[in-house]
Amino acid sequence: MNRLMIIGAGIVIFFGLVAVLAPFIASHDPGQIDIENILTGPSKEHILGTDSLGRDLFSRMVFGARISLLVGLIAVGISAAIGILLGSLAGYYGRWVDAWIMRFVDIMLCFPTFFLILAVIALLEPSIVNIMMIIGVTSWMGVARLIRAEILSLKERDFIYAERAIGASDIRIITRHLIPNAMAPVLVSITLGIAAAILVESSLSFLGIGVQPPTPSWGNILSEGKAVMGAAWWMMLFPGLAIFITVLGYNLLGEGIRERLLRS
Amino acid sequence: MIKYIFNRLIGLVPLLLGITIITFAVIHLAPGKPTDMETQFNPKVSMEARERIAHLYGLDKPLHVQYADWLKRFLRFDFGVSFVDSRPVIQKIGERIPITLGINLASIILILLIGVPIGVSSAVKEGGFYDRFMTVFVFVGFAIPTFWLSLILMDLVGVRWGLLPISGIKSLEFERFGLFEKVIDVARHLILPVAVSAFGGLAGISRYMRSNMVHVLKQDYIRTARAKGLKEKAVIYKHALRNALLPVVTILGLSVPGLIGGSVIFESIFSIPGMGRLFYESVMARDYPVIMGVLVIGAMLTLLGNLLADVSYAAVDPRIKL
Repeated sequence: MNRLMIIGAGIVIFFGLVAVLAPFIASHDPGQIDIENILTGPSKEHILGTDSLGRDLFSRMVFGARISLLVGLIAVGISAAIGILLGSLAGYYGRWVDAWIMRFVDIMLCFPTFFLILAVIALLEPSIVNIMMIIGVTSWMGVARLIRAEILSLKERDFIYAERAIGASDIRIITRHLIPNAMAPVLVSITLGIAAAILVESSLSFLGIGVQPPTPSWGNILSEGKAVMGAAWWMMLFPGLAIFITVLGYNLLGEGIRERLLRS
Repeated sequence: MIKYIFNRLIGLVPLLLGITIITFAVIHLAPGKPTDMETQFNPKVSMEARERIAHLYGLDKPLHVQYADWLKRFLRFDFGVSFVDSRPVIQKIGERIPITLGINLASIILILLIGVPIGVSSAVKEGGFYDRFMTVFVFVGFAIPTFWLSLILMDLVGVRWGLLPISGIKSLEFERFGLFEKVIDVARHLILPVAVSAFGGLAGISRYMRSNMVHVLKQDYIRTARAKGLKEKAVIYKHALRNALLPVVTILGLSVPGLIGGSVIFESIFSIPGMGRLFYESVMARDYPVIMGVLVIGAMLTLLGNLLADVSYAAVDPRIKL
């Protein structure tokens, strides 16, 4: 364990716990409207203040952590699955399979990803499931390239020849031997990918086409914060900090893992 | 050289075709018809009228025919007319591109001017206090959400301190200004957006520059340069920097889609009439022709950026023979 990894893992675990234990941590019902306490600053009753409907910001942020992390994790799960599948097919079979898949990767990489995401989200109606799907479907190219490159070199190694010699099927070789051995660099990419997915989700929610209110997400709280800019600094400061620290945590963890892999 | 560029251009054709297919598929696989926007909320429009509109835009033909038609017109740069205001798509995009490209170009220049020196000095004092401080800065740069940074800067610099304008690219009284005042006015409007869009990229470039420089400084030719008694400055700036700078060209090319994509966020926050904002508005209005136009042109700009990067790499690196 190096220092980057420890700090990163600490942040990741902390926010993970907040998300899982949200109902026990939140001091109020995140949806409870209180028109007598609209936009009150941080106080003993509302430690991070209230929003423009008098809802408790702290509780909304705690529940927002669930959404942000869920979207990040599942989106990256989808992108890793697609990337690993296509990357290993391309790397293992080579020839025209490789040519077509890698050409497809090149084409996908040409699009400004955020444009593509925005177009699909707005056409499909913004729902949490759609957001996870579309982030996953537009961000698998890096993983595919990594896996392919690893498998290209792994498949010429002796233990793979040995597997073939004893008559192991292609599927067995790919799933039992090649992918597990190719996963190390992908792990770094996945960790960094979670950070990126959280950023994309919050950007979308901020633009009003991500997670829809009243469901709280850090991005849409910040979007409300923009509307009351100047009148309620807490609405802008805290959700932004939460996104920033979480993304920082996953980035540090990813870099920490990378450093560790480089050394070993 | 010309032959190389020509071959590369030929190689772009299949990519371009793929781009158009994906764009077309994305728009047409989505539920909801483009005619909905013009007719759905209008009770006076009958089914028959709806079909007439669909026919007008060719939406009643089979998909592959629609694609072929669209591709034919695309080759003449004819993206059709906007559903929203019936103006030609290419014209709408054309007036927005210079703004977005201008801001991105300015931020790339800013990134290079600041990022390269940061990377070089971190690498030279590898592991020192400055290097560690800059590593922290780089992580902050990677993690800070652009829209949050924009809001904070808007609130502090624009609203609280009143130093800079926070929306649009020119003042209301712009037309009455002299030329010099006009330039100053636009520049003042662009300081915050350019700063924000440069901040994220800065982290990437300085980190990349640092690792290149660390790598180069360990090469034999650097030891040779030192051994023959060259001053440290000459070693770093003449021998090491040049070699470490080369791959940065490629990275700049690769960062084009990110920069263009990011323009959606800061252009909508700062109300800048660029391509990102146009795209956002078109997406909200389901203005299919404009969405397709911007997607394709955005992807083409990326291709162009990569091509430029490769060509200039080949031009500056004497080891690459064309």
